[in-house]
Amino acid sequence: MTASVPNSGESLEAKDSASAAGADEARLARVLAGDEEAFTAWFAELRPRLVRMVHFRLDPRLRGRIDAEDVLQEVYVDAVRRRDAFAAAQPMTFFVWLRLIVGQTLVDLHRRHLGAQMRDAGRERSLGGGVSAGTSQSLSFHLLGKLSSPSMAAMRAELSASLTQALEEMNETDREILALRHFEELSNKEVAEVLGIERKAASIRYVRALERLKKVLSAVPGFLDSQTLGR
Amino acid sequence: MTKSAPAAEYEALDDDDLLDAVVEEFTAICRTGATPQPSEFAARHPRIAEQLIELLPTIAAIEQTKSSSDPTVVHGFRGNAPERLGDYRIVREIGRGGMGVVYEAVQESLGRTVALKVLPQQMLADAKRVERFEQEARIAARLHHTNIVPVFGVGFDEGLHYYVMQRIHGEGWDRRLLHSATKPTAQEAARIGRDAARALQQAHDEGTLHRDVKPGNILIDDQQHVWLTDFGLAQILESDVTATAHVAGTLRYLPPERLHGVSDARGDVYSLGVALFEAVGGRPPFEARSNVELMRLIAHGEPARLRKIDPAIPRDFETIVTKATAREPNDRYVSAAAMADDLERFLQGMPIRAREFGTAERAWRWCRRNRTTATALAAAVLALVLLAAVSTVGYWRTTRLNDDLAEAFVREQASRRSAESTSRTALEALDTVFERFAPRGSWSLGASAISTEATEDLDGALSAGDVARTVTNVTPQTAAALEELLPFYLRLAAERGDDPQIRRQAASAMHRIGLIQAKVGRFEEARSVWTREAALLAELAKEQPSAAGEFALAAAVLDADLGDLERVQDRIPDAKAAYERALEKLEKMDAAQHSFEMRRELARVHLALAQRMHHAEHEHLGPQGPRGREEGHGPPGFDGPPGFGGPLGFDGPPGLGDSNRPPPPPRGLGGPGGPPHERHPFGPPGFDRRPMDGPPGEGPPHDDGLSPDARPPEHAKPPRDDPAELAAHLNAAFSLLEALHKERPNDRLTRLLLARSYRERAKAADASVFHLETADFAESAKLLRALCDESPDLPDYAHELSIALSDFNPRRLPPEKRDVASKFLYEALAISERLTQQFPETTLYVGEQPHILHRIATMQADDHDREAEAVYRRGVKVCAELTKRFPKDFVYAYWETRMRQSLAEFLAGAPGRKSEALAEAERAAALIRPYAEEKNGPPPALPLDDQLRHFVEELKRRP
Repeated sequence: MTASVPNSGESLEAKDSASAAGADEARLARVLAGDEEAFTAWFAELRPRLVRMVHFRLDPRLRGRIDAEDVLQEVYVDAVRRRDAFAAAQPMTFFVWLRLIVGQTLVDLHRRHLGAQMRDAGRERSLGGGVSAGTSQSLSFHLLGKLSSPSMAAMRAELSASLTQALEEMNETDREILALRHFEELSNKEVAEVLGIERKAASIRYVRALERLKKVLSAVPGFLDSQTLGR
Repeated sequence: MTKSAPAAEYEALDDDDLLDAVVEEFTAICRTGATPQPSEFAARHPRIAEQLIELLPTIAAIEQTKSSSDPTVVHGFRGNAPERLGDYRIVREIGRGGMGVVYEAVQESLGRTVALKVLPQQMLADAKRVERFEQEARIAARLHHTNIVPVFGVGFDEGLHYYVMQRIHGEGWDRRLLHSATKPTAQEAARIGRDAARALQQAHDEGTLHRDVKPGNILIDDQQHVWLTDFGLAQILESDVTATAHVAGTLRYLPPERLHGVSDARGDVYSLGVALFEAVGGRPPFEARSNVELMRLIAHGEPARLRKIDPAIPRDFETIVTKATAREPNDRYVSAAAMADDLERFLQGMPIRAREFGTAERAWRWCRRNRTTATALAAAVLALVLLAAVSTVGYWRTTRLNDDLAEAFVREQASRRSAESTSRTALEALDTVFERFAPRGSWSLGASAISTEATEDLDGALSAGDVARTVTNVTPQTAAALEELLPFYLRLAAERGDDPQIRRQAASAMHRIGLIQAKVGRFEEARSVWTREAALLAELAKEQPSAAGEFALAAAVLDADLGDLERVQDRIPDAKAAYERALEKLEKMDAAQHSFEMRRELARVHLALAQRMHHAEHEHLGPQGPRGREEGHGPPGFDGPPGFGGPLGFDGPPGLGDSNRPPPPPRGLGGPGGPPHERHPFGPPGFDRRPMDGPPGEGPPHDDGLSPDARPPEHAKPPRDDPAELAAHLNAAFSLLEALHKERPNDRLTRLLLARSYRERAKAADASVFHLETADFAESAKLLRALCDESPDLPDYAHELSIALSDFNPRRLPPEKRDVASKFLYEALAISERLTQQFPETTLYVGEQPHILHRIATMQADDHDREAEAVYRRGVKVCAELTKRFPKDFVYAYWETRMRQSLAEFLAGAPGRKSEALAEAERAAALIRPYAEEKNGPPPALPLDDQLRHFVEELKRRP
């Protein structure tokens, strides 16, 4: 995979984390060999990133009902149980694999807690790793998440609706890329792996998606500094 | 995370990769909480400077929304307020929303304070749109109304378009609602709505639509004066692509037709209605998480009803809001003025003009919306409405049904998330209706078993114990209409891949339909629908072996109810066989399946088998009265015709019947022809409709002379019941029921069965004792009375009580018991009169009355009380009405004949009334003659005709 895109941003990342990459390879080998300690340690290291994913993907209606830590506990148990599947899925990075399990766990949770209300389930082709809460809604929710005073809450409801709609009008992959890059904080490389596209393509699409998002956001009054009033 | 790389590292990259790398770096810095400057990055990477300037602010904005706890970051035009625009000096910001920012400003040339609304720049990006904006503003400036914020003009400066208005010292209704601790009362909202509606009317008169009515555009000043603002602005912005955000923002106030580009005055009425809804209801009429969903709901959904949210909201206010927010513009107020007037009427406490949507209208509207998703369902609802129409239900009952349906609709729309929930709701709606017309457990005991489970799966709200709130008022039309609903169950099941759950409900519905058919006397129809049910149950049991217990129980219930049905028709051997089949099924069930319901059913079957069914039993009842007739051949019992005295058939209330009572000997019939079953054919379909007799309950057919088909011919006399066997069944029933009663002291069906068991034991005791005076009977009556008191709405308990109280043959009473007996009879009569009045269509109740009257009259006649004549005459009248109502049914003609015969006998015994007696006897004879002369006519007609002929001749011979 990597080899086919010699000129990608990989050189930077590689340089930046050459030693980390080497360490990862060693860890990967240990994990594949069934070293539980290495498995657990690595999981712990990736935990904050997985928590972020849970925060982002969890349906707003379940916030307060479901704790990210509980989700990860389930994920951990499941991951341990399915270690063989990881070996079989090679090549795949450990993080992307765990992310997949988080996604499936979330789908189950949503189904369990929301049942029939999971109306987005069929519609969204879970690019984000089997997560069914709508990415658009999650994006919108998080983009506006901080409007919490009462008067702002009113505005948020309106903005959220308009933003969600705008996001829904975007290409699915583009939207997913934005979510992965900014809310799950995945690197371009990881995004490419998650979405199964070339890294170069992922980066081009990301830029394009950003441009679209900008357009969307600028239609939301006051979202972007100085954009609206043109000052 | 990623550290900033030296510039040299970037040089090797092509533009795309460079951009990517820089973006990652910038993002990483943002995530540390710092605020990197896009311009710096642009300066560092001139090759891609343009793109960076374009993209980095967006990235910063996104990252900030994630991390910033400062909400102003998100929606603020941070620090960018202009200082001056044209003639206006900006004083301060006073508000902001989707349409821009509003400032307080001073118009320097005039020295006046104004409000200045600066529109979002993109919204007026081209000249054409600017022109329209200015045009709209000019129109708005022409509007003069005490409730419209005056517009002074528009302007353009510093690249910003603005709108100048009178400064209103107050706040938007939206903010007020948000900040207020309590919801406004309907009165407060109505006042605001009325003023806003008047303002709208003024604008409409001037040819301007508001197009964006919402709480944010309704200002309330410090004197509580209402001001409408932002006229016409929405329209200019609507066509603007970038303004989708704006339109979307107020989507929930958007009239549905606007989605198709249609707008007129009624659109503003709609939006105002939504605003009122939201203000008072505290939530919008449609709740959706996405605009797509919201639009779908606006276009196809039925809005919530205010009083479902808060029953304290006045109905008139709800009606006004409902009318204003009708999906079809034609269903709304024709003008804002009309809405204002109704709100004013509401405020004055005067009757409003808006018409409440009736069940039919709501259902129809609902159907229209759901045409695509569930046509079958919609049709079902229509059928339900028809059903409501054909059923003669009193006003309050209609209202209740209305509410139930309305509730079902509300629920439907609240949960219309998926096809699955739609059909679920449909089922609930169907179930509600079935429950209304054929309450589970009301008269057939067994009915509760399967249907309860089915319902509880759907919605725990309904349960067998819930019968108290149900109303039974069934008519043959009800039964037919309900039957027409059956295909919907099956279609719903098919839509969901032959969903076994729905089919199980279909089976349950069939069961209930059968019960209704039986109750209105349509026995063949009942049998036929039950046959279908049996087949369906068998199918389901095969498919789902794991639920075998449940289906076994359902099948046993079915057999037991069939037993009742047979018994009502006096097909004793068939009845017995059916009960025995039920018993066998129940006894075969595993101990694990011995649920409460199963044991209760078992008790019911034992009780049924404990009741003497064979006519032979009667023989020991002794002679029937002073004029005792000979078994089987005497003249039909004129005086206490065995029939009347013998409670059974007639009285047998559904289920409750006195089944215990052995049917009287075939006596008055003079050995009718073939066995009852064979007789059946003569009965026109209506024949079965003999509600009077036995309700499908366990009431055994009467023995009394009245029921033509009641007794088997002598030669077909079934074997006698074995008293030991009967006693064993009764004991079994008792021990089960006592345990069940202890387990669930409030279970009504258990108590009802227990009451019957006591009565059965009272009757079985000593024939020399008046069984109504035994302790067992007292216990039975006590249980029944308690049930009546608890469920005054459920007539079947009262009916059962009336039967119990008149369940004896007056002719067999020792004279000293007559006083006490007549008290019982009069109480029974009072109950029967009440039921007849309340449920004139339920032949079951109506048909009970002549029997009671006959018993009363007979007792009086034996006392030579002249009152007897009046009572007989009353009985004749009731019978004649029934004969008239069911002209094809032999049974009613037969009853009438017997009643007249009794009257004639009484008159014949009174001095000087021979000619009257003769006239009455001749009328009676004339009534029965056609049946007697009919080839293959009803067998009981022949002997009766014979008796009457002799009687007439005898009277004629008298001096």
